[in-house]
Amino acid sequence: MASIIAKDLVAASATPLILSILKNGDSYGYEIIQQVKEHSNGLLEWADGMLYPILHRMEKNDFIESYWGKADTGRKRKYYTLQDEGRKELIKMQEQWHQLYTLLMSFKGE
Amino acid sequence: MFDLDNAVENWCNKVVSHNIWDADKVDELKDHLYCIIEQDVNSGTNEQLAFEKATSELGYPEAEMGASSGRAKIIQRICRVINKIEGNSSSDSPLVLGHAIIWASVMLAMALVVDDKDTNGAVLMILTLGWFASFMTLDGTKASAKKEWACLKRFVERKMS
Repeated sequence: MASIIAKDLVAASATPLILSILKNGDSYGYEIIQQVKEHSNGLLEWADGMLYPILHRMEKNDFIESYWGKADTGRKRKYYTLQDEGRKELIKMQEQWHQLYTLLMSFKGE
Repeated sequence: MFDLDNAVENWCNKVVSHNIWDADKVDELKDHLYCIIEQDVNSGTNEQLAFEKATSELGYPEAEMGASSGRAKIIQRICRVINKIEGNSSSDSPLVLGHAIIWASVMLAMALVVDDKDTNGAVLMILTLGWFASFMTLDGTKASAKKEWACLKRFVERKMS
């Protein structure tokens, strides 16, 4: 049974998850939230209030860049694309999470 | 007849006027709102119900309140603070650091101003309780107090090095 993820973990995992999604292609806020929800089978349901400040901060840090495009309906839509700094940061974070996971699992059997 | 575009425009204007979202970023919020509405409308819900559900889902109740509502301003301020803390995974966010510095300064000032040792101790205890109590509006966890103390310590170490 899926358990509720602690708030701190949800916050900490947001940046690497966003970077991972954008590595597969440009995306926008609503779609990012939907992808996270789908991939986590509903375990992670991000609010817009959480996502957008993170996206804007990642943009300030040059991990991602935004540009205005058009939705199918013709509406203005802001897309985000991964930058080189973001790629490097993703690799670094994936390594860190893997190390933490390995450490955690090493205690599991004890 | 319900005018969806008008309703969305008015709601977004309220969100901006309550300083929940910046005016230069509101087009992004608008698109997000439309996406939620369109998903529901495509499932068969009528536009008005979809709009009400979407705005409720986005959770900005203060946008529904009058601009002059004092309660709205308090909730809005709390939401902005909570959003800032929860949206920022850095331990050294300006808000956390600012909060730590303010309380540390007040405690230090009281220690210097109050001569009597017993009174000094009592005042310090009250201020410490006040510091923890302020987390109830920011984040009611012991972890936040530790985070703030670590943040202040790092700030002082950086200044001294």
